[in-house]
Amino acid sequence: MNQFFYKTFMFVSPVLLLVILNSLVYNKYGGDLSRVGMISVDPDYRKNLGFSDEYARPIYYENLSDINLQKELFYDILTVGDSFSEQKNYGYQNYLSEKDSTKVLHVDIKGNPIESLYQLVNGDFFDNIKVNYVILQSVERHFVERAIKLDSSIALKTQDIERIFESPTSSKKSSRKSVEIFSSDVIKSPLYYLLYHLDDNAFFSKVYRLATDSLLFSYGNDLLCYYEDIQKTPLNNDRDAVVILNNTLNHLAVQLAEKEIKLIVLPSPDKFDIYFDSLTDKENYPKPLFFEHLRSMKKKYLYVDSATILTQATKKEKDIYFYDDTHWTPIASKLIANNILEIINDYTAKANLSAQDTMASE
Amino acid sequence: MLFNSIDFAVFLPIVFFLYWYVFNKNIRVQNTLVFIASYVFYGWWDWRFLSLIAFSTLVDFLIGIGLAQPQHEKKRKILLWISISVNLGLLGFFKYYNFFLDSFATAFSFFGHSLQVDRLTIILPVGISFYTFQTLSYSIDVYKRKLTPTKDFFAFAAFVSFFPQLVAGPIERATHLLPQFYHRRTFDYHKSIDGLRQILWGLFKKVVIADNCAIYANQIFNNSDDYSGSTLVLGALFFAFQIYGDFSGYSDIAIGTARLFGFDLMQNFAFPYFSRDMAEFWRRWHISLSTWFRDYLYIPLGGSRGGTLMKVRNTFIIFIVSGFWHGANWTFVIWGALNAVYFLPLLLTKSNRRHLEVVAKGNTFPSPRELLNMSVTFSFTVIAWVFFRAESVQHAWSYLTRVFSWSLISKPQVIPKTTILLVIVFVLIEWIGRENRYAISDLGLKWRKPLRYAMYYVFMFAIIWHSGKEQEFIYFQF
Repeated sequence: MNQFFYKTFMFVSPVLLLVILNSLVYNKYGGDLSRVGMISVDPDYRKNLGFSDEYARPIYYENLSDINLQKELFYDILTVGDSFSEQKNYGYQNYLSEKDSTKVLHVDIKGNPIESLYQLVNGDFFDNIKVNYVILQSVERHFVERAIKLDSSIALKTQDIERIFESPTSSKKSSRKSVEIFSSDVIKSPLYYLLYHLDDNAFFSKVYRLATDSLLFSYGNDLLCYYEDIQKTPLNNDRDAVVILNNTLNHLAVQLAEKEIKLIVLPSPDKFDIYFDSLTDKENYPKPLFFEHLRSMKKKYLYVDSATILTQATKKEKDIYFYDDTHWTPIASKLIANNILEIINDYTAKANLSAQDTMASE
Repeated sequence: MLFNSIDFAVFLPIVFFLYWYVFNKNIRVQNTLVFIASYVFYGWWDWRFLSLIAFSTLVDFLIGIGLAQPQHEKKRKILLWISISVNLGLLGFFKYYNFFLDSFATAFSFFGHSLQVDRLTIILPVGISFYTFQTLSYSIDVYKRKLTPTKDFFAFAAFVSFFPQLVAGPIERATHLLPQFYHRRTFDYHKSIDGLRQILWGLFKKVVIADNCAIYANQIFNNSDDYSGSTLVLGALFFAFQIYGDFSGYSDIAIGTARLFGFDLMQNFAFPYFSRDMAEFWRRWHISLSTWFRDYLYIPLGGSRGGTLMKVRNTFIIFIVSGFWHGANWTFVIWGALNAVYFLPLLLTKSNRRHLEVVAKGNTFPSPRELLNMSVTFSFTVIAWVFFRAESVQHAWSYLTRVFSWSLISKPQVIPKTTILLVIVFVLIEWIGRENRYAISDLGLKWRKPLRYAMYYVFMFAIIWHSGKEQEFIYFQF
């Protein structure tokens, strides 16, 4: 029996060693990129960024899941988006709703935001919920494909929305996973650590670790970005594909205009795009042209040129995006919120002028 | 607790240590440890489930003692029927109550009246289909005087709740497993090492093969309307390997774990996908269940004695009940009936016992005829699996209709190369080891130690690499 114990222990000891090693180096509190790429980050990194007040801000906007859809309600802005619209305390819509008593309602339904908005437009949602503006937000890497893989015919009625929020899965919170023994994390963490020295995405990782020539973040000299930022670049660089997106957005804008609602489109740039000019090996990667294409197209909607705003900001200060996450920081959220308000004010001013001109001519 | 979880990885060594180092001197204490450990194992899911298994254990223990008393045959029959009623009653209520209620309401609606039914929120206790059948085998064998009933409650309780096979089989016969609790077990080094090897292979089948195939099987089945016929074929194939890897993997882990404690469990899968006809398939797939139904249902009904009508009736009964055992859905019933349709021609033409030995025994490759027979049998099996996996009969029908459409002649829309390669490697290993109890039981034993250990490490790291995408064992839902 001793021989059995000895042999078994010797056989499993490499695994035990890996588990011990991982428990010492793996930080389960990192952002999405550090968790996916198994990249260890200082656990105090986020605390040291100076955003504690932003994380603790009260929430001024309302979520769709919290309101009574049967009542007639009035809001200035409705927001529909992906994870960039789920930043809560320090999300752009929270900064928006704090200013000038702007009432903001957020559609906290998961899925393709373009499709979600179509579903609301096609249904009876806007019969009771009156809004002046709709902000449609989507992350850059998925924006074009969301417009291509779209079913714009589905209608979501009020009772359908209520059923979505009654379903138990809608209240499930995702839990962060710590390293488990029976998990590929045990091998990936040390393996990726070694392989990142040989390849930008450690050959297998979904996270790229790219060298930069500037200090972009308070922590770390490299740029972490999600592999899809790079993988989707060819599609996003295809002008014809961006035309499809723009046409879809214009069509939505027309549909909303019929309900006297103005569409504002907010693309959230990928880190890879925003920081592309700072890469030391940029010649090895395709230059993103998505915003260049979209900027040049005729629009029936109001457009938030987030790429320009944030690229300029990166030249002035660090931590526009989180080092270890695909998402932007409160700095970016505030800039975006301010820009949206400027756009709305400009639009309102122009609309008033136009109305005055029309009255004058009559 | 799941076999491929940290909880079990901690639980098993503790129990192993206590079993062989602390409590090995006394058989009763050793059995009591198995009983307690098994209840901890089972209660880990939900402690409320323990009351059911305890109740079932107590009823059959007392009925066993009652059956041992010399008494009128009528009284013995009553006791037997009490056991059957209690066990099948528990199973029927927890598993089939809502199904029968819904089916009744649906049938009523055919007459133009809608019936409001109050469904109960019933949690299906894990493994209830397995342990109720196991305790039933005890009562029936005691009644038939094939087995002397035990007066040792802890030995009996340990037999019923024996943790390696409690939640997903093999469904052990009392005549085979219970006597093993009467004798003190002594540690056998080679048996334990073999047990570890079987556990390793079982984990490989479950984590590497089944869980990877499950990703694509689920993707394709859940969105079958969006895929071409060729893709749906791939989906069905992925499911075929998912269910085989999952279920036979669990059985291997169960058998291997039992061997660590000195117990021998029956083989539950004997390379069924290498079967040359459906009769052979059913001799190799879920052996413990099919033999249970054969011995306790098919033979008492008359078996294949009697006229053609009786044979047809008994065959349909056995396969439909077997299908129904798997779940409260008409898809399982149709799956069973389809297998009956496959099996009947062989039975009626007395060709059901043609292939009793393993295919291509002693040869490296199968003959062209054997290869054709295996391919045809496998194809029929996969068609039946579509019903097993589908959400509803309509879903299965629409799935198969799309398979047998012009879109079958197209490139599949989903081609996960890594998973396909893994399945091919897996099938090759299974083929090489098909004459053994499990595929790798003899693999590498004649190699040099470093090479053999390298092979084991490849399996282990493959298991760890693919862990984390865990899917629940399919047969836990039964």
